[in-house]
Amino acid sequence: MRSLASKVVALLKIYIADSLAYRASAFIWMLTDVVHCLVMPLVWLSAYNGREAIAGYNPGEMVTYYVMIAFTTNFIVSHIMWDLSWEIKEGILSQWLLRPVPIVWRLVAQNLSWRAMRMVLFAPVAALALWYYSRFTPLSPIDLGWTFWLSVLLGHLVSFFTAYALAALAFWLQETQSVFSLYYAPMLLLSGWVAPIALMPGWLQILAMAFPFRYTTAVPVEIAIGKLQGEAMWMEIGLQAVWVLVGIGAAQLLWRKGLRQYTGVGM
Amino acid sequence: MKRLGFYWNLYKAFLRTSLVREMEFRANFWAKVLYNALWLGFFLATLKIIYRHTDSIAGWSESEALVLAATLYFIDALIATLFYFGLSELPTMVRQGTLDFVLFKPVDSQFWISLRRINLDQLGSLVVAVLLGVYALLRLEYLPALPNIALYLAMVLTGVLIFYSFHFMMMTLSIWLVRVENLWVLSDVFAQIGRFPTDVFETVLRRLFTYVLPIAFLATIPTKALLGKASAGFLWFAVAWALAFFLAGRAFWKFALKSYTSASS
Repeated sequence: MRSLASKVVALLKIYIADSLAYRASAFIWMLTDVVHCLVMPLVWLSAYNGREAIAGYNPGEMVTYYVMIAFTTNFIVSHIMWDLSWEIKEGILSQWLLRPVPIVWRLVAQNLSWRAMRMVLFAPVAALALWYYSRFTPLSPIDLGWTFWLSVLLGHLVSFFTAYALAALAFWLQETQSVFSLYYAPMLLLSGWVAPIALMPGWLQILAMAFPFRYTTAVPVEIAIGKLQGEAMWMEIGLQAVWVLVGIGAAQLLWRKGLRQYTGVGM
Repeated sequence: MKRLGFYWNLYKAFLRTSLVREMEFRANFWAKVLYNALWLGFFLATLKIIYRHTDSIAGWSESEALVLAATLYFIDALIATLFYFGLSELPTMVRQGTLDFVLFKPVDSQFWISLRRINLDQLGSLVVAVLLGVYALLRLEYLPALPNIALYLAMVLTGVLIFYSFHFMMMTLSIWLVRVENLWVLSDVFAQIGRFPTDVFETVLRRLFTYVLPIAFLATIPTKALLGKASAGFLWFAVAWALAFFLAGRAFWKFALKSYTSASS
């Protein structure tokens, strides 16, 4: 028996090659993020009208926030439920049930290689965007220390397990596509993608605490631009860890129940 | 003229088959309306979050930005109704080689691919867009004069033609990029930029989005015309752009077909 680690390494090699084969797709998906971090900061810069700060964000911090949110989103936010639910529906999942490696590790390898490639592709864009904005306004200092990367990793896991759990709905529902589409509206709003959560009305800020989304991208970005520091930062990193555990628990439960009634139609 | 009659009859047949299809999935209709309304709501929430903190973005008040949003949403919904479904099948047709069957038909291939599927469940979005626009104008307490309305409608029409041609060109790329499944995202990005007034961009980008990639002509300039802030002269620009884009799209399609290898036949 080969060890699990060597199997995962083998899977990683396969999926890195696979991701590279789809780099044109990756590039096109990335354009959404490019446009987001081009349009939103410019909209906000036109909204200051001479004021020094909006909800504690000065123009430099606002600009940096959007570049960082686009950068981290490329690595953190997982969309595996689309393909995975299709595999469940078509019975393709059966192939993976028969192999001597738990499905979750295959997904980890697949997701990790794709997300890592996306982040590498986006890094020069982020640098270019920061350079572009530095001509309009002094940027906020960015702290990319180990606490940031720890938070990024935890955010990645929160998003991964949420998507993994969500995919299990395909065991019960005929039509999952519309459910997944509906998932995106609250996700984009509460993960800090649309705007820093501090700029939202109070009730939305409270709502954000009740969903896992804030703990995917918003927390690491707030750490990077220095909005979260010291005790408050550790509190949020702790909550990220809690959401990872909640995600693992929910995914385990749903997948165990789902697999019990999986019929492998289509094979 | 006979040719025109032929195409008109063909279009009526497309409409009929699309209608039959739609009647089979009637429950879907309201689900789609709700779904589209949710995404409009999502964008309105974005606007609301911004205008909580300011009275104007690059000279646009909240109500004016709402008129712009309604305009873009209307154009988007019209594209989705008339062209989107048919064109979104193009990459699959190229991959499976079924585009052959279209090319063999004694019908213009662009006409067939663009117009064959009419997506009637988007009609709800058109109504919602009009209602939003009227609401925004009432909020502004602004009654546009007739010439402004005429100018606006003409510009919306050119906006539709520009957006359609752009979308068509992007989908045409599938002839070469056989493995790329998300070409539609390129048109999404086009609309994503047009949702906000292009006045937020600094000079270089604003010129780029007016004269090179005419995103300003989708919603910003038509809305300005409606609000009496753009001169009628822009209409000639808009018409010129629409024609240029349409002809470019057509030429690009003809050019692309030369590289079509009919993969699986």
